[in-house]
Amino acid sequence: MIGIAVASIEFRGVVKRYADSAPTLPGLDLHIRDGEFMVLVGPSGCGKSTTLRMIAGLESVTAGELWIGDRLVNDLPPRDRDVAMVFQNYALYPHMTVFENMAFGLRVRKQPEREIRTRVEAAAETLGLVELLARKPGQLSGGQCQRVALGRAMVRDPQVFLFDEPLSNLDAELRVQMRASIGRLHREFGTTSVYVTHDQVEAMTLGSRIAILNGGELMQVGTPMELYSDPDNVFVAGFMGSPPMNILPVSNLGHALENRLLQLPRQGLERFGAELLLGLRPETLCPAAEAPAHWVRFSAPVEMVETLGAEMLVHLGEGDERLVARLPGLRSLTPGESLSLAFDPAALYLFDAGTRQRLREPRAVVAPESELVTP
Amino acid sequence: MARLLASLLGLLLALGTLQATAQESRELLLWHGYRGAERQALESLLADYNRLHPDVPVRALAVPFGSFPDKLSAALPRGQGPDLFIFAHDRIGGWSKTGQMIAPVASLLSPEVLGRFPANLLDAMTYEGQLYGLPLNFKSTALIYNRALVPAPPATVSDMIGRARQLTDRERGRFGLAYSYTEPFFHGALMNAFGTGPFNASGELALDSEGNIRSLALLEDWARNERVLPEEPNSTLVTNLFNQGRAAMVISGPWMLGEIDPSIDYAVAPLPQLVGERPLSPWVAVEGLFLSPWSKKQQSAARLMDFLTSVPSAERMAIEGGQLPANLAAFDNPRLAGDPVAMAFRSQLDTAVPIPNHPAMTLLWKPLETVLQKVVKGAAQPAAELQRLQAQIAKDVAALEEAQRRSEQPADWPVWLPLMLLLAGLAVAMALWRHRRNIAAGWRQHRTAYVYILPAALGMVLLVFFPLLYGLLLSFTDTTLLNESAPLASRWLGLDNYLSILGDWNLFYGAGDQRSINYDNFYWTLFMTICWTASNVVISVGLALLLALALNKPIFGRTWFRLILILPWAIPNYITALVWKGMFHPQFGVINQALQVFGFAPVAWFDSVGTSFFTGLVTNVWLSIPFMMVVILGGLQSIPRELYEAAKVEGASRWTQFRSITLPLLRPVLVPAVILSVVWTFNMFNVIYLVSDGAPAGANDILITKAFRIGFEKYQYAYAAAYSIVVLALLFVYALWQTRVSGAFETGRGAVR
Amino acid sequence: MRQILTQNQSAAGALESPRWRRLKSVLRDVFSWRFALLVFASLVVIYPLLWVVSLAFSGQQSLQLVQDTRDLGLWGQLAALVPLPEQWSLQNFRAVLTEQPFMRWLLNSVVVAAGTTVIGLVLSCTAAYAFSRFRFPGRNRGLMLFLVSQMFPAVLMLIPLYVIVVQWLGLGNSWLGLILVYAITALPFCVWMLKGYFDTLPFEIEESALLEGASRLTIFYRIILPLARPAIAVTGLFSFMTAWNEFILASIFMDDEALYTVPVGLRFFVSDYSSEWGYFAAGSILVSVPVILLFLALQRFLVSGLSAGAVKG
Repeated sequence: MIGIAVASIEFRGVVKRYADSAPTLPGLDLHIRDGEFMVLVGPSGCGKSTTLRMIAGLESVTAGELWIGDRLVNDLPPRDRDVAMVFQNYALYPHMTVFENMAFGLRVRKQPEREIRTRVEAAAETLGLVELLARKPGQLSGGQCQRVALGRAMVRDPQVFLFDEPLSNLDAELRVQMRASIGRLHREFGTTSVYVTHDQVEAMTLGSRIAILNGGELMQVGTPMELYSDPDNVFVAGFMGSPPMNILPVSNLGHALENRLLQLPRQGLERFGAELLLGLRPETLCPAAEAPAHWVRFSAPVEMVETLGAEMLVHLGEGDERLVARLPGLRSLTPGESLSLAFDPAALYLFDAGTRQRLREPRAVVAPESELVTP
Repeated sequence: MARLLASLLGLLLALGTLQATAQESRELLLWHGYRGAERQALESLLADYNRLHPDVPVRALAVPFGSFPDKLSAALPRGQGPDLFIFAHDRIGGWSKTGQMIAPVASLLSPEVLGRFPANLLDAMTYEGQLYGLPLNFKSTALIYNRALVPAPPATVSDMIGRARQLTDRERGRFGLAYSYTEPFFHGALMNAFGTGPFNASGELALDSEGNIRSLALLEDWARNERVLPEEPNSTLVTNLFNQGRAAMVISGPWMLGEIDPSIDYAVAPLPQLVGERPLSPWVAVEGLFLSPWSKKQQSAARLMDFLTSVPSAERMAIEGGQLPANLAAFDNPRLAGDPVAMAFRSQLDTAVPIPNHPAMTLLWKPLETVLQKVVKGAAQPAAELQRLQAQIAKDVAALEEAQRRSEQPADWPVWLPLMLLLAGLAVAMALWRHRRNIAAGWRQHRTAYVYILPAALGMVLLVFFPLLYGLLLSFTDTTLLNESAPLASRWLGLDNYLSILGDWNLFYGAGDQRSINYDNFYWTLFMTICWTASNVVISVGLALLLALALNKPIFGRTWFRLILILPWAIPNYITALVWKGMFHPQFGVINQALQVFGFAPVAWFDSVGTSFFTGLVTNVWLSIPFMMVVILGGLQSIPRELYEAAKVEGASRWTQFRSITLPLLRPVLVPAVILSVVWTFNMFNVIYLVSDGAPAGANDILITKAFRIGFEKYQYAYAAAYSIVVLALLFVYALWQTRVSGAFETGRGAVR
Repeated sequence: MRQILTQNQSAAGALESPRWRRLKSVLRDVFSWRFALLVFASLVVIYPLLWVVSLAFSGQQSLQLVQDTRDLGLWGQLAALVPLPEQWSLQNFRAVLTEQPFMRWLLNSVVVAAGTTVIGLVLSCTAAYAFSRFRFPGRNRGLMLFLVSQMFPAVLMLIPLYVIVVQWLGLGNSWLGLILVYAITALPFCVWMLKGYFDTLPFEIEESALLEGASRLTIFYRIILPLARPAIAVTGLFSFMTAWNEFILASIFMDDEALYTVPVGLRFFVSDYSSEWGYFAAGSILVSVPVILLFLALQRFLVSGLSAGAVKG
């Protein structure tokens, strides 16, 4: 059992439907590679927990195929899948000590008692639980409980680790610590892991790859950087990054994009529809005075300022045309004041207003003489 | 799992059949209801008999009085039960009509044996010309008096009352005369003195006869004008008063003698003469030996009957067992002849009248008691009340007779019935066939769940739903005590029982000033039942919750409080209910006594609907709190402490904590407990029956006691079954509503595969 | 300065000694509303029972009357309300224990009640678990049907039960027949109660165990049952009591006095004509002793706040 057991996981057109209702997952295709740390992320109710629980075998697969390694596991009971899971609320057995909690899985699998002892103690050592082995869960703090839950999953040395929002009950500081130790553990053991969360920071820091789900549909899969820099649709664009990408409705004039805030001459727009969405990361905006000349300039009234120390978030605009800019926190701004900003025309994203899908254009060089026009 | 359960069940069944097959013996089985000295005397007699006749030994089984009739009526009509049994004679009429309870015995016995008994005792055992058993002993009342207060027995009734008047001091709770005068068995002495009892000379029901009205008027005079009698008498109270020297004379039977305090110097005399009429002629209950019609050992049974009624046996039963033998020759034994008490009862027999064994007699006891209670409390006029009773009983008798007449005619099933059944069966089969894939798939998909439920479900089907079906079937017939054995087809009635229950709109009887609520009406009883259930459940759940909360956190003496508070559950409720009844006694109860100590007027608890309701309520709440409390305590343990801590930190008050944490989290435990407690309280038979017994005049009966009275006091089994089905339907509707409202069916989350 | 400090400390230490602290907490308890409520409730509970006890120990058969107290003062009148026998005697207990094979019947009752508890708990725990944890066609209807059985008056069940148990199953005159009937009678309550309690146990605990390779049976046995101990204690007690106090079915099914249960024996003392209430009271007290012992034994489970802290959130 010692050694690195890894397995890929593959969803082939998996459908999940609860009795007499619209399907929770209308059809999922997803490949999770050996040793990968896959984070499933999305708003609540998007089907990410259902997906995880299907891997665990806690939810049945309505249609399609689910493979772990080279086994089709659709009808395989949970205990034969060799997966371990860490639950949001720890799910420790309250009537057993920490030791018994961690040993339970090995005991039901009839491991020799000596082996159990060494493995539990090793895991306790790794997680700093040695002094707590004789306590019961009721006497532990939340962080300790979560470490016990982690240890319980570890001692079994499973093919796959599943995490169901394991950190959401912890306070911020503990969360950072635990995040780090989960990351470390994965690097150490290299076990295939699937991690469900709704927190994009967790997703970005932990995931080898991230799968973003919305309403049961897989929006995009990729490494954190891919998702950040090359989102496929408005949802992914809005989900990754903090604060999220600004999305502004614009009209396509064929040769330029225009709304009440700005006008942006551009080529190659003929292929697109009349109404588009323009995406701008807050961090790509900078004060107009400091911008290179070819950047697009515009100005808008300041609505609110959040000061974060080294930088600040400035909320601008009104009506549909609102955006947030992340600026160095050196100036003082008062609400109502008009602020001139600029951005690199190459750093913007275009989306179709109807399908909300990304519109990819050949990298066009924007004419340097193009001037920004403020309406 | 399934294999384990199956093997366990199999083992149990095997064990059961093993035990059951060890039956079928050559013994002669005799059932009796004796205990104490009577039982010892009987058993030593039987031991002698077995020594004499080892070929067919007798095995005796003592059955407690409370379940003897039930045991007989469960076993005998189904060919089970004893060869012989000893029982009082007054049910012969009904039993002989069913044809399956008792067998005629005259042909088995020699004239010599029959000649042992006086004519009136043999008459008691005879119905419609057939002799159905041999008299073994008799029990009648006589006058028992305290010689320190009454030197010589009064010769006439006016003597007796005159004497009693002098000795009565109501303020101090002293009475000249005490007896259970509201019980028809005791009042029979007066009815028989003035006339012929409930039936006239030709055996027809004549409750409103001149004699009966006069007997009631006389009793009313004693109770209300002479005021020589204690209120709300019962045998315990009478014995008690006599033992404390607070009752100078009592009317009671030989059964009381053993309980008289040794310090009381008492004597027994026949009841006095009613001037110008016959003497007070008490009813006599004759205990007889009855033969089962199923007995395969009739000759041996006859031999035993002969043996037990012989003079030597009778003497031993009299001397050792304290019985009054029906074989009067035994009284010639010097031990008995020299016993003035025994001889007094012996001479009382000369004027005593056997209780009529007419089948209608069994319908009379309870309604007549109600009438007596109303009359002595001045709530009714004797003549009017008896006329009403006559009409009511005549109706009940007519119902019984009509049912019997109908069942005697051979009847066929209505043609549509088997046709309907066939069609229904076909429809079910077709539905099953059409959905066979779904059913099979459902079974495969949810097999684990079904396997877990299967053992419990099997048990329920066998031991709950079959009996229920039986009840349902019964409710569509007109089955009574008398036609129980007739084929089902000839008893079939359809929906008539339900129509007559639900269509009973006689909410009142009488008119004008005389108008009063008809307490026998279904809707009144339903109203009372709902009041009863609602008040009980609300109060007991509330109090239990309060106590459980008080006990949930550590407190000094917690273990002791917890132990004390469950005691009412631990002690059989039969006795505690009777203690409560005693405590509510208007004259001698502690509660009124305490009220008086604190300067309040005593309350006649059982005289008005409200107070009588209150007695039942208090008793039932007292009885049901412990259980509720334990349930809630168990539930409180499932609430995590952290929640309270969190709430405290957020500044929630105790009340807010209770409302927003305790109650919602207690709900999974509380909801089923409340639903069940509603169901149980709705059907709470014991408390109503034992404490208020529906007083006054059935106003406080709930549906279940009413069903019981219809079934076991009026013997209209089918009508009672229909009543019960109505109860079931009402509760079912309630449960549907309650579970929907409270979401009792919800699980914590979408369940696992 | 230092001395003063240490002196002060020791003085404070004396005041805060464990005994003093204990006394203080007891005093605080005694003067709380909860304590007052419990004392009052206990008095109300005990008073009627005192009548039973004093009747049992009076050596007499009836004790229902308050003495004539009109000549006494207020205190005398109040004292007369406290039911105490004129003389204490064990005569009633002696008679109950010797006149009938009481101990044998008590033993029978223990066997029947224990059997009922075991079978009832096995049947109800499994069924309740399924009702709580699985979603399957017929689930709600099934739960409702369990309830229906409690709605039909017991008196009318008598004859059909006799037909089934004695005539069909041939289990008349055997404890098994009684045990089955009692267990099924207690079943609906047990199932509903346990289902309610199981619902409060978090699913994740089971799912976790499921993933760790435990079978359903192992989970049920090693996780659910230990966690549901308070509810199992309550339902067990209930099953036990169902069997313990029943006498009509017991006397109808049994055709051998050696097989009677103890409530049947007690009912011999009560009849229409005369009733030996003293014996009955003494017997009732003897009968309730095992129940009280059982409750004492189960207390531990009722107060063990196991699931507290089981799952936070």
